[in-house]
Amino acid sequence: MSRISQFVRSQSICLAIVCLVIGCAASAFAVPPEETLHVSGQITFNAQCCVSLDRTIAATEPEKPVPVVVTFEVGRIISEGGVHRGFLSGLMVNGGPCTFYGPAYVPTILETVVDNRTFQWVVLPSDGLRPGTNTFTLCGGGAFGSTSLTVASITMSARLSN
Amino acid sequence: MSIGSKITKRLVSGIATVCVVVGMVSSAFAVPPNEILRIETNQTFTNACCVFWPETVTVTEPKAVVPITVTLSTDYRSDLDAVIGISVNNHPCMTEQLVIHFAPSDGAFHSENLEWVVLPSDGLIKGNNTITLCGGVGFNGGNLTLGFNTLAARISK
Repeated sequence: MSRISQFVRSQSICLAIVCLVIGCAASAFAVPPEETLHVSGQITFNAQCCVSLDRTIAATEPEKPVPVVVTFEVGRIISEGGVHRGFLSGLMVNGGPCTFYGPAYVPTILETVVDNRTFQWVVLPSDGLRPGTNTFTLCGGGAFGSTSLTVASITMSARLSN
Repeated sequence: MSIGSKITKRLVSGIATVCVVVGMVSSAFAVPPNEILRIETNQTFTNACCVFWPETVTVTEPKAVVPITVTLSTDYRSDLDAVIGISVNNHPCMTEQLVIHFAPSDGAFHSENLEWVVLPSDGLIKGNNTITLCGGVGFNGGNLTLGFNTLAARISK
């Protein structure tokens, strides 16, 4: 084998390794399915704040946990009832207490249909994040008493900030 | 130089290249903590439009400056319609968005999710850029209370 062909071969192997690593690294940053949740169809929550609303997503933290941005989107709000008005939403991190990591009030000010609403929550390592799998469970309920909230859909997603 | 040492040299340079590539790919997906902010106290502003408010995030732009997306997600109460905007690198408050008045007697809050797209032509520069919240209430002032909120800036790839 000539020296030129040896050189070409070794360079090709290096290039192949680089391509493989890029592919692996990129796929490592793809959004895993457990980090997102979409539920469509009429959904009714009936609770007084603050209890689990039984919707959970998960995110996998590295050895040194980093902040997580959780986005919660409420589809069209169909109705809100109860003697008391006002519905709060928050998160239970790894099964901990229901906590507000940003805005909490699901708008219930209108008697008629209102548009989609989005909440952006920031969960910090000091909030109880740990290396490996972390769960984020939707929680909440009526601010001033048992309240019923019916929406057309909900979407949750978690974005690791590493 | 022997064939063995040549191979070793190429192998080492190949591994070095791989490490550099991995580092670049990882950093391309990074979101430094100063790009996000969480406020857990109520803040009341009484000024008319527009003054800077004490909420700032920082983003680092590459040599070729690219757009960024800024998101404010907040609870609020306001006795008059209010506007909320952002200031890029201490430039005047821009792209204000309207927040409707909402101040029921039971103390409940409303919530809003506001998003801005900041273009390089809006004053972004290579390196560190500050994004500061700004705004005001009514024509002559009023009471706007921001409750729990998060502010996040995200650089476009």
